[in-house]
Amino acid sequence: MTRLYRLLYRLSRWSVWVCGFAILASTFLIFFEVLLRNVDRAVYVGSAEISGYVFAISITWGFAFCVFERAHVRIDVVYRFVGARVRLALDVLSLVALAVFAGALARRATDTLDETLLFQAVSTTPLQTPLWIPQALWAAGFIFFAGTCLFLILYILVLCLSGAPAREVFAAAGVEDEVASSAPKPPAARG
Amino acid sequence: MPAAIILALTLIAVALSLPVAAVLGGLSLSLDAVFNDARLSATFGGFVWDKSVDFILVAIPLFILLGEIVLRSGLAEDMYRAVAKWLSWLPGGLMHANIGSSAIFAATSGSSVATAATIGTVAYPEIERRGYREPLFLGSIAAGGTLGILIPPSVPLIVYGVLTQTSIPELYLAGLIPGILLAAFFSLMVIGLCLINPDRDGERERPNLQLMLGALPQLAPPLVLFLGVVGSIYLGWATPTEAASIGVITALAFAAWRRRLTLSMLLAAFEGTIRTTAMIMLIVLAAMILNIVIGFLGVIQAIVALIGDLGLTPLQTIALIVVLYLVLGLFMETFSMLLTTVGIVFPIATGLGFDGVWLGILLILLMETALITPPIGLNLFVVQGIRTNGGSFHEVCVGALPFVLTMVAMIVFLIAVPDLALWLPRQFY
Repeated sequence: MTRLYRLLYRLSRWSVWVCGFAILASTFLIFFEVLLRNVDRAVYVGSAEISGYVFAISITWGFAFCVFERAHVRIDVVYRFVGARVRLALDVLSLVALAVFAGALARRATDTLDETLLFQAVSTTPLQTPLWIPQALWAAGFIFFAGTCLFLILYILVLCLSGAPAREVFAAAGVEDEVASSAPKPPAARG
Repeated sequence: MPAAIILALTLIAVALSLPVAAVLGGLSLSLDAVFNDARLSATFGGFVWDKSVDFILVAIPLFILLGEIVLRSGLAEDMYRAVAKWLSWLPGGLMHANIGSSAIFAATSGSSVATAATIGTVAYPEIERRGYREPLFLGSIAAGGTLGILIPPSVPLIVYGVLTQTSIPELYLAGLIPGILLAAFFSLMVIGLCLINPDRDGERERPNLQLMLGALPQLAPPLVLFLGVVGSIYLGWATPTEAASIGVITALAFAAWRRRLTLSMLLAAFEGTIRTTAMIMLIVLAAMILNIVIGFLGVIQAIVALIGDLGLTPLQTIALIVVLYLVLGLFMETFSMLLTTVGIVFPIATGLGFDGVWLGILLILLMETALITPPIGLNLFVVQGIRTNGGSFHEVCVGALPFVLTMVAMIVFLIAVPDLALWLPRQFY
């Protein structure tokens, strides 16, 4: 199970790297289009459309990454004043809440993809992108997000029931000792 | 009655540290299920897709990526040292460098947390080396960092513009003068406090013209970035998203020139970018869904009518809104605060005849204040996070207090003189 945890975490990180390169590539595409427009003449490259797809896909895959990195914003007015056991309970509850929302989004996203496939919808631009391609990747991100939440809940429960050392359980749930959990860790502090 | 129960459960869920996005999402789903037979929920998929492919939102990851590259290529550190040479002869010494370089870094990055973390990491060792009194010094870092969301390019202003359909270029222009003024007021506050009690000050350097001039080249990269991004918008060459792409590519060029452009640096920048973007966007999407649901249920009209019944003058209404935000800001994370409330506050304020652009700047100032008011103030946490001597969180809060007062004064000033924000956009549009 720990192996699966590491595998999923790594998968999530890889997906973020791939999305990062995709964002960088769209940056160059956008830049190229601006340059052409201002130096020579307006040429339709479709950078706005493509970068929109890249953005939509990147954020859905980023949602799962935020779960692993504990980056989803939580208000810790109460959290900071309770003991580690209560924190663990709140962490699990948080994952459940995220799982419910993620599950609803994943279901609606899949419905949208279904419709697109049914009607073979294409974008109303010169590119005529078959919309199922970006939407499939987008919906998959939502499913991975929901799956990650469910897996983490299960993982923590299994660790608890198998009598794993408290420290290990807390680490898996991301129970924090000092740092305020509502604060996304500053990029500089992460090096 | 069901509405009251749902509202109470929502507040409890937020207090229990459930993720804000999940709470807003759950709230939308349950309101829709109870009052609409879940008819709206069926449209969420298409709605979220349409919103997510909006080109203007692509500016968010690009501006965050720009800040990450500036940060990781060492440009920000150089800038700090250069600004320090220019400002550290003033009473309060390096604290002006904290504020000044935050303002400049803010002009290349749209994030307050990144600004405070960057400047803080470079500045922190100087406290001991030059004998500053810790609280005020730390406060100046936390407060300086908040300038990141007011001085363009600012990510919260993009989100505000998208949610309220206000022109983002106008918002950017409107933020510039209040941003510079606020930085100046912070510096005046530091000078005043250090003149009253010189113990707060550290060892001062004399102005050295040669060093000052020598430091100028280090200020060139941020200046080029700022002019490239902001200039291209106002010369009509580029939209905000396109301007962000110009910024990213220029920053990459600077990083490559300094031989700091490596694969591991890029991957770390990607991780930071997507982490922050996804964190913001989940709340943005949840807030957008919630706005649809409560709009459909007529909640906003009900609140507007309720406020109308109170019989307040427009000025009293704005004062009430400001006070509510100051209180909310004590406890709420700022982005969630803006996103959950703007759908209600915007129609109220514009209905009373206030300008949408001006309101955006006012809300950003309130967000900035919330960033440094305890017990929940993100920048206070960031600054506390960089301390290595294990000092108490209380000290950071005390140090930030004078800057909170400065901000409140600035807010009053902006309400009294709306042209602080509106004059510059008027020259262009």
